[in-house]
Amino acid sequence: MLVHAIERTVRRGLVAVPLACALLCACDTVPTILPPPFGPNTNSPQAPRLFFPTGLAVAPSGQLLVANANFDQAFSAGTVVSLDPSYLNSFFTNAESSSSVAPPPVDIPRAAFLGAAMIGNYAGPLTIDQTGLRAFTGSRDTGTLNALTLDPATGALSCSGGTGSSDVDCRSGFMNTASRFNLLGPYAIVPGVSRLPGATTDVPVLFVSTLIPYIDTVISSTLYTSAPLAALRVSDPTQPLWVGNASSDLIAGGIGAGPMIFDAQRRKLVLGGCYTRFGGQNVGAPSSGKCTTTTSANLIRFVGVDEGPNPGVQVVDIASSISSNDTEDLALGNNDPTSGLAQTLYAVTRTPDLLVEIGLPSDPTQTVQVTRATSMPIAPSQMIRLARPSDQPGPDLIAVTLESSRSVAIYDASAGQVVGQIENLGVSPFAIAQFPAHPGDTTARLAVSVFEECRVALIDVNFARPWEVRLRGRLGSCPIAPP
Amino acid sequence: MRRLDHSDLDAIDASVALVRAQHGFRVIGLRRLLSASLLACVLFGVQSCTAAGSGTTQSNFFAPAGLAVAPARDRDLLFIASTGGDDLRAISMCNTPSPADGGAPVTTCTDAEDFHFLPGPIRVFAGSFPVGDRPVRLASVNLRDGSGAVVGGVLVAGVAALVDATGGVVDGGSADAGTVVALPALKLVDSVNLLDATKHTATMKVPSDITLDAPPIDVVSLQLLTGQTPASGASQPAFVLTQANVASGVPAEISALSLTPSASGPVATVVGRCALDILATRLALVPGRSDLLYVGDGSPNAVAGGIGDGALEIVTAKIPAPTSGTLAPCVINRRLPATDAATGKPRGLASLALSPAYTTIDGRSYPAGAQLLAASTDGLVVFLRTDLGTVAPIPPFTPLADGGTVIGVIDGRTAYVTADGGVAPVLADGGLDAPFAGVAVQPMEPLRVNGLAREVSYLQTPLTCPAGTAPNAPCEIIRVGSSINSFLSVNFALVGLVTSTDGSMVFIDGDDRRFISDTRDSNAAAIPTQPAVNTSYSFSPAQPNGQAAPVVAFASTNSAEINLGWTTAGVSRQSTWRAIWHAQVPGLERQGGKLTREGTTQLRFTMPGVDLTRWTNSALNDALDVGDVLAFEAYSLPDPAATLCPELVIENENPLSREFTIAAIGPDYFILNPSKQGLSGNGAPGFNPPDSCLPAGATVEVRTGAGLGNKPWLVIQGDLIHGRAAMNQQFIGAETRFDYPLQYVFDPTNLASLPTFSDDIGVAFTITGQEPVTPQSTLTFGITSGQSPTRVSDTGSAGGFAGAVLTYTSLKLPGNLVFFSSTGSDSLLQIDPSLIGVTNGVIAYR
Repeated sequence: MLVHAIERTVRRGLVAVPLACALLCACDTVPTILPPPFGPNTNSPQAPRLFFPTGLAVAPSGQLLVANANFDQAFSAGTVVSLDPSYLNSFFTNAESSSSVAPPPVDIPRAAFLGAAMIGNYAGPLTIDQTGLRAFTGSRDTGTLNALTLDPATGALSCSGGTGSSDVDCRSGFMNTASRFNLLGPYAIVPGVSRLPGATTDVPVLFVSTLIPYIDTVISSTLYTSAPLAALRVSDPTQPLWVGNASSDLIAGGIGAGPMIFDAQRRKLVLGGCYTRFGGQNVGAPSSGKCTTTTSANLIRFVGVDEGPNPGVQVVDIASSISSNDTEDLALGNNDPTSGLAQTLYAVTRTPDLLVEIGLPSDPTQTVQVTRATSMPIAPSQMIRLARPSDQPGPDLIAVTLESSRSVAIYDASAGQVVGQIENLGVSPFAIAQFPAHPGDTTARLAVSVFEECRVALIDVNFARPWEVRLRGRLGSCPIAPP
Repeated sequence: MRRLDHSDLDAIDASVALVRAQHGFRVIGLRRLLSASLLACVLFGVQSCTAAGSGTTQSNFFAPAGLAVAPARDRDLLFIASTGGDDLRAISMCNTPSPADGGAPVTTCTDAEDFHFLPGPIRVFAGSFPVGDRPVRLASVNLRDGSGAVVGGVLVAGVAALVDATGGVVDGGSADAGTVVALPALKLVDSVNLLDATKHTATMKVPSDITLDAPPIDVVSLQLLTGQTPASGASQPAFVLTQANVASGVPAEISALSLTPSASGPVATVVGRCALDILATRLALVPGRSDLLYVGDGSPNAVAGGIGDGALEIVTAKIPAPTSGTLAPCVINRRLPATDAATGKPRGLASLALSPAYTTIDGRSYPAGAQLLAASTDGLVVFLRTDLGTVAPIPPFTPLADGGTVIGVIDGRTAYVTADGGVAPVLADGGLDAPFAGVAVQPMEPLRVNGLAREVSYLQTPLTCPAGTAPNAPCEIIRVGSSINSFLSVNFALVGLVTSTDGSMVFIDGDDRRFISDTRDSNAAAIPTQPAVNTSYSFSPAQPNGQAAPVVAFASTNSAEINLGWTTAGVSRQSTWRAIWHAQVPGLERQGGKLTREGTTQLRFTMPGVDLTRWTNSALNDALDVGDVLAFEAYSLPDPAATLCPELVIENENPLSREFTIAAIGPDYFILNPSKQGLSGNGAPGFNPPDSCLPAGATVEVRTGAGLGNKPWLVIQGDLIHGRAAMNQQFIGAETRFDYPLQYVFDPTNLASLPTFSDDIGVAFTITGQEPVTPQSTLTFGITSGQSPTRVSDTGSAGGFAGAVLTYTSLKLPGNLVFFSSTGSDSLLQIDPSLIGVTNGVIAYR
């Protein structure tokens, strides 16, 4: 299908690649090895597949987009692929898969890949913008933002800002945020709105935060860092509406952020996680990494979106209540019908492994504080609050991927307990996305990227009996199985 | 000695897999375990590894949670559930006492096994006994068969497992390859078989299932009294609670089990089942009794005195036999509401424990179950008095200060507080005299631990007291103190235990309903420590032109307030207080908006999406008002191609330097008067942007000013905002009570010395002197609480989050040992309360 067309295009476009490779090798240069379905042999590319999938997103047109991170650098690029919604849906409707027999891992047929495009390495979360036609993910090794255009009718992917619908080599990225904004490690990308001071209308934007702080200056071997935050116009993401700092040496110690969400009612971004630069090295640029060895704090940052390049940043430390210094992901609870505001911020933390409920008072003068914490199975990673169809109202249900447990846990906020857990998704489940919920649906249908198994797992969760979680499919595998 | 390399580890892992296949149990991945142990030694130093001398660092817990002790032949087994895994661990505790002649006890339980884990196939590692994913709650099974032989086991709630299409269990391990769902069944593990399996004298049995309608979330069994032995051949009850889903109408269910001994181990049979239309959280039984079952109610949309408030009491004999179809509702004997006495709001309960029988040092005796200790759903520590069925009144009273007695009241403490708060003297025959007319005492406020309270329990009544203990005197001994010179062993009549999300466990004096204190209780002769203000306050920055700093005058003592600054023991927290002049209004620290002309001279600043009624109607009630001020940080234009007028360009060179007074407050805008401060760009006094500059965008900071009756100071304790203060007016900072650390005097003619909600004052002070001129000038002072609750935590590990707590006694160990799971640090702590501060008084199993 479309993938064949892609491959043909690549073949035509890269007819001179073997010669080029030979020349490059002669010059002592690392050869370019394109990932499937573009290589490694460009004359006879491998079938499309997943390799170290990280980010997931469900397009409004139904396709599941998967970012392949190329974590082991086996190739010269990562990819984003789009998967056929009818193929995926067959796993949820297939009566066989509701039996007790676990669905065996299956390879995804070539025809189910509707589109593929190359991007940079180490893709993080994948986000679809408000148009529903573009997907973004960051490559934190090169400080680039990848952007892909989705054809909603066919599922084909191409480079946003590229030369056309046949341009699928997006390795150079859509934008270098490092050179443009000092935003070194684009990671969390969140759609939202912002309004510059004085403007009369909201502007749809994509907020992009950095994992890696920027070093503003070094004084007596002490690094002074900041973490830029960019609001990119959806109408033209190359033109930021504003770029400000989510932290600096005066605010939150200049740390980089992991997860980020947008509270549309309060018009605040909420950032968690802590990444820092490590000084004291004799050679090369200071490395970066999690702050867990350098701090006992666990800061949640609330950043205003209507102040332009000088956003207000309020910082709350939840560590004193739960003795944790690492937040992995954040999610907002349902809006309170009275105030119209979300009352609960969910956070999953490590050391200890918890799901933490943080009260968000509607009264801005009241203190944001931890209201409940629940022990989670080992290594919670990403989470999603399940969207309920209109005829299935109920309390918040949170699905959490558990990296070391190879599973997903279901947390019922009304009970304050883990009520369900589904295992054997594969090694290191990471991102999780929900397919749209429609009236009449009795289950939430979820996709989970399984990092080390080169796989997407499909599960469903019964809204009324959330302990009924079923593994519906395990799609994809690595050429060499993980240990 | 050769280092192990990867090939060795691979070989070991392979051998483990083989052994597991042969024996049905296993050790957790050795590679992971070895590296974890090595890391532990590196991280925690010699001290932690010394604890391994009693076999403690190879436990490799994964988020330990539920605890239970069950007998197994001539020992007890402490079971620990790993919620992060799919298994139980078990520690052997020999229970045969040494004979009186000093000889060796007759037992097969050797010193080498005592307080060591049941081993895995490779016996230097703790055995891992799979029961299904995520075991959470455990309850013991302690039976004797017809010959008196031990039949023991443990009930496991909360597991998930692989099920087939009919709901039947296919496998319980983590290596299964199928669809796993939370299991609507309770697991029953045979402890004797498990012990035998580790000794290779039996094949380990697969845990049996007790089928339920929904996943079990809690299970309790009869708690035998210290030294009590089950009757031969007799069955015992247990009770299971299943998960409710209020939104989808799935009720919580109580299942009554009959546990009976058999030749093949314990057998559980469902003998009763009923439905509860609440979101039940936990179960609890009175020690030594099974006639009353208490159920924590955590229902949403709670009503004071109704659903979601407190606990339910169920007469277990009224639980109907199980039937097919719709379950009969449980017959509720009564509700014990936990309504917050100060606010009248309902309070759900998340963990419950009933007190054992106890006798106080002054001879008062209370039956088992007299007191219900609970952790509320909002993380507070609540006491209920079961005779009243309500929140307990403020802690008991001491005799009158002058040593006199109240008529009919022998020692003051024998006054009986009735359900309506009245106080009636207790007569010599145990009856009640008429209540004192017009006298009523308030219910007590919850105690508050650091973090959120999670689990509660009580120390058991010791089997025997140490030599020298007076007859009938309490002897629950806690070693308190903060230094080697202050440690003191203190006898308490009743001791509660509370674990917290911060990873610690605190001790509670159950009779006085307060925290046991390292300072007060280690120095009984001293006056209980009172809080104190540090009068050496600071002020910054220095004001221009040498203007003097304002002065903080702490409220003077008087007949009602005995501390400077009116600090209150059990209310005033260890904290730093700040009073900030022209402070940023909370939530309006920085706002973007549009600046336009209002009328001819005023300005309007409109902020998108901001509902200012949230400030003007805040619970603080004094957050924002006309008279407060705005300072502009930056002027801008939304169109990057447009040019900002020169006047605003000049203003941008001095951000936040000028204040504009708020003349009116709209739903999302402020009306501002022109600034009167400084000089404008053209040298004229003050500043009012010319019309040619407007409209413009701006980023502002909203500050406290002359609003709310000229209260320019914002008072903050730590991160908690207390309110606004004026110059030369007393500010009273109220706090929520966290403890009742004093001995309170009851005088029916003068109740002023009893703590009341209205007297929960953290500090009171007045700011006098010259008012500052520099915005955000800050007065700072500190308060010491004077309190030091006795607490234990795993200091050798990062992470916190303490979980289940359990006390253990036996004929061999007649005192109490306390175990609590430190879920967040993957450890189990063992505490001898009488040896806190002594080497090995606290041992961590990791």
